[in-house]
Amino acid sequence: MRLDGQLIYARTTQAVPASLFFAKGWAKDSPVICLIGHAQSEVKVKSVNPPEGQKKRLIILDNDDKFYCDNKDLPAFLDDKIWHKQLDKAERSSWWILSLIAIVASIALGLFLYFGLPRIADLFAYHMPEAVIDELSDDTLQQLDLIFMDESQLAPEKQADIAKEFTKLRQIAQLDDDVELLFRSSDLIGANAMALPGGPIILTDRLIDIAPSLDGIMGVVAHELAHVSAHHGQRNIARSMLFSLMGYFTGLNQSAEQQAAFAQSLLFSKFSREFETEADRLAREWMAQAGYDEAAFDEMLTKLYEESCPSQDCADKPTGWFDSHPALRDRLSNHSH
Amino acid sequence: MADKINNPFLSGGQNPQAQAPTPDNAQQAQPNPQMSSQPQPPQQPLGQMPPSGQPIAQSPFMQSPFAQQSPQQSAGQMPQQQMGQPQMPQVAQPQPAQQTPQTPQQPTSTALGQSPFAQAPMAQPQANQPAMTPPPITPHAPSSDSAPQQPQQQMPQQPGQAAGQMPQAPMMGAGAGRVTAADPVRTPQVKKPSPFDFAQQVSGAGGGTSQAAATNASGQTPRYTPLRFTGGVGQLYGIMIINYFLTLFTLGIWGPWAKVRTMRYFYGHTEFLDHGLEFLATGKQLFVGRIIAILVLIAIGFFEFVPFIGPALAVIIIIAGIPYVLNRSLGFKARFLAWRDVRFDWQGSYGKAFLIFTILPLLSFITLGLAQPIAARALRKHYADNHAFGAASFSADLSLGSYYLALLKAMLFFIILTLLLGGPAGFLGLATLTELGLLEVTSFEELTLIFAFLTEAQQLMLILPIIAAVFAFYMASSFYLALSRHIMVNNLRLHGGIRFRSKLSGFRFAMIMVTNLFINIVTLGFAYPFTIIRRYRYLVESIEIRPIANMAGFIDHQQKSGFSVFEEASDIEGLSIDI
Repeated sequence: MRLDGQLIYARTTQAVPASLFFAKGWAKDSPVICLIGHAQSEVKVKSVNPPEGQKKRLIILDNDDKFYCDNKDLPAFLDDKIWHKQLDKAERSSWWILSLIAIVASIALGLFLYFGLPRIADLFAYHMPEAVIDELSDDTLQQLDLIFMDESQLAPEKQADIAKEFTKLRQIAQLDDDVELLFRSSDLIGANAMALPGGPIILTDRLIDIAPSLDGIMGVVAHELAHVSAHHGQRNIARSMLFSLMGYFTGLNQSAEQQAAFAQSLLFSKFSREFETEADRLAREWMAQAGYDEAAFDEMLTKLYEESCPSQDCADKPTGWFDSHPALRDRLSNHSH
Repeated sequence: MADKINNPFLSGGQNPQAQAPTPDNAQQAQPNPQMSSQPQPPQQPLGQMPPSGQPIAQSPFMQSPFAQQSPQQSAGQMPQQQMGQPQMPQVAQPQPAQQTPQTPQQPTSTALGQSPFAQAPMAQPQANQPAMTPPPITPHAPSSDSAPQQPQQQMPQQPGQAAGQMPQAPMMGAGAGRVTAADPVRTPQVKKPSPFDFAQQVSGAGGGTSQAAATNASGQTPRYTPLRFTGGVGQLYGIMIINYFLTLFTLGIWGPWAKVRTMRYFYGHTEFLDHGLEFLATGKQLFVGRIIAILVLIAIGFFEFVPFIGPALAVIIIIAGIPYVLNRSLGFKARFLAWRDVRFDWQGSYGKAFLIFTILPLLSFITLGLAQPIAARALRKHYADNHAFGAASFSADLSLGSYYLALLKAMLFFIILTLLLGGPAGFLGLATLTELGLLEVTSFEELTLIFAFLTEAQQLMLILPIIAAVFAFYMASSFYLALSRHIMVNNLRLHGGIRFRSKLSGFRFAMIMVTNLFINIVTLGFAYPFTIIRRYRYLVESIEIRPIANMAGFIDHQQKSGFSVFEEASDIEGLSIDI
């Protein structure tokens, strides 16, 4: 069996036409005659590079010289690694087989992102060290104070009243004492409340100003405590990290950057809405335990939506795919029940 | 990943410790000792002068029977021995007696005389080269177009051997492991210089096609030869889809192998003189590097939580670490890339990398872009000057003025685009602001709040000028990137006389980039292989290289190889260098 190609001397750019001759029944460690011009020598085949989409195949000889031949000329007995051949064959499949593979892989990826990713990430989130969570919360608070927030202008008596009720709710939520309640004012974010991972909980002056009742405020506080209690902050971080890692490992963050960002936005909006719904449910349970009027929470939510929504009909707007919170009509008590 | 392929072959560099052409250097570049007992390929690495007084010899390659091409045989044609045509001689006989070793003589005047490399002679066959037993060579009726006394280029065959049978090896044991066409025993004639010397050498050196015949009508000046990209989109689709599938179903473990397959596809199809580049790294190497890189990055992430010194330490590690990672990543990319069997090399130091990747971009930022050309020039000079191909260094003499001119052109391009695209969009935005009575609002915070209360149509009208500006900036920055690359490639040299020429058009590159972005968004990423090949092909094929006669004379002298950890760390962190 004769194989024609080009030989490149080891560690040089010198290439010469050459031929390899294989005896009948050639085995892996058997010698091969290498013929260059008139000169011939006995060599052994050290390895054969996988096809990897190349039109030429590389045979490395035992003296480190390289022999290149056309892929189609390579004898089958040299192409002994089945999976190399199978992989090459798969890569050269017809377009419809490749499309089918791509669709199957994409569906599998979608299912994993939808069902698998939250579960795996949550396992990590629940075991996040306290020090890490505290550090995250402190850093975030510092940045919020630096960019968005000022000191609260709320009367100290009012602050004390709310803080007293907060303590009651915190006990019901079975949270530690280090989960604090903070008051801030902010023109930029207006009437708002937020919970940082592991606490604290922040209420803005504007939210307290528009609140129809103390029970309404406590409904919001209970909702934020539910975020802390259910580790929503940590779970969100863990899911984000896992998603980024997935993107990196699958190569999607490079090959489909925009699409990955789109999928992330869609997926994490859904996660966020789920967290909000869970927090609403827990908040209503705790309000009932603490003896607050649950209807006050509905009033408060309506006020908040009116404050942030410019048009009158937004109360009836359905939940959008990219909304971080469910629509108002999906959050009111008649719907929740 | 592949769109970030930085191909040193497309640029290159000069070793800052560029070795002066001294005898010591020539000595250093000798191939490894195991080769010394065997007939050798050319020993004189390109870019290095031989020791003074060394007799000038023709390249052993020129003594090859394959180099004995008749003057009638046009450049680029294969010699009579067609490797693709199995042709077995009938009877093998010893070499004619007159074919005894003969000292190569210096040609009085050769076609290389005009080449800058003419002063650096070809390597001489080693004095201790073992004389090989003349193999059975078939006497063949001399062809009319073959050189006199030169046996026909026939495959030897043993007496009685049938076609396809294994020929008997004439040499066994020590020294039989290598065979060269440069054996003086078999090719005793000192070839007379001919106008076709260059073409013969190049074609023998792996050419054999018209592309390899890089010579003009007089046969003295090599032609500029473009780099070629021979890959097809369909094939890349196959590779990427299978990689995608395997990576998902192995939970990412296949990732490094996927990267290797993709890199090998791109490099392997990037050809010069009919030989593709070779990406030498293996999936296993990258896998180990990736695991270590992830662990190290996680550890650095946890530094932030160390009380007191933690955050500061993390910042210091990041600032100091980025140039280090980039520098080592460049080293990895170069050392795992080869053309024929000679690897590229990277000699960049950490200090320079810190200057290039940290200080100068900062300076550019502080000066509001005024120092940008200084940073752009320094980056490309650093990139070029620190790359090497085997023992030969790259270099690029880049003038600062040309980079300022490029910036000026890019700014002009940006202004024109802004006027063309941003003008109408700006008008719409202004009309919306006027209509809403928002022209007097000066506070950004206030505007942000008001923005949230606008209808979607109004929001779009206000965002449109911003989108137009971003679009114009994206095109202009692509334009500037192309011009910067164009300047570098045009001034690039590889020691030994190889020159580079760029045909890159800033406008065309900017158009490719922006249409690629559009196509990717519209097709939800399914056209990614098409867009990446489109960009890569344009970048590759806009480079032309003027080879030298002795393209076969490069020698790989590297002892060290790259460490994949930093390549993987740069991938994880999304660090890349656009040259």
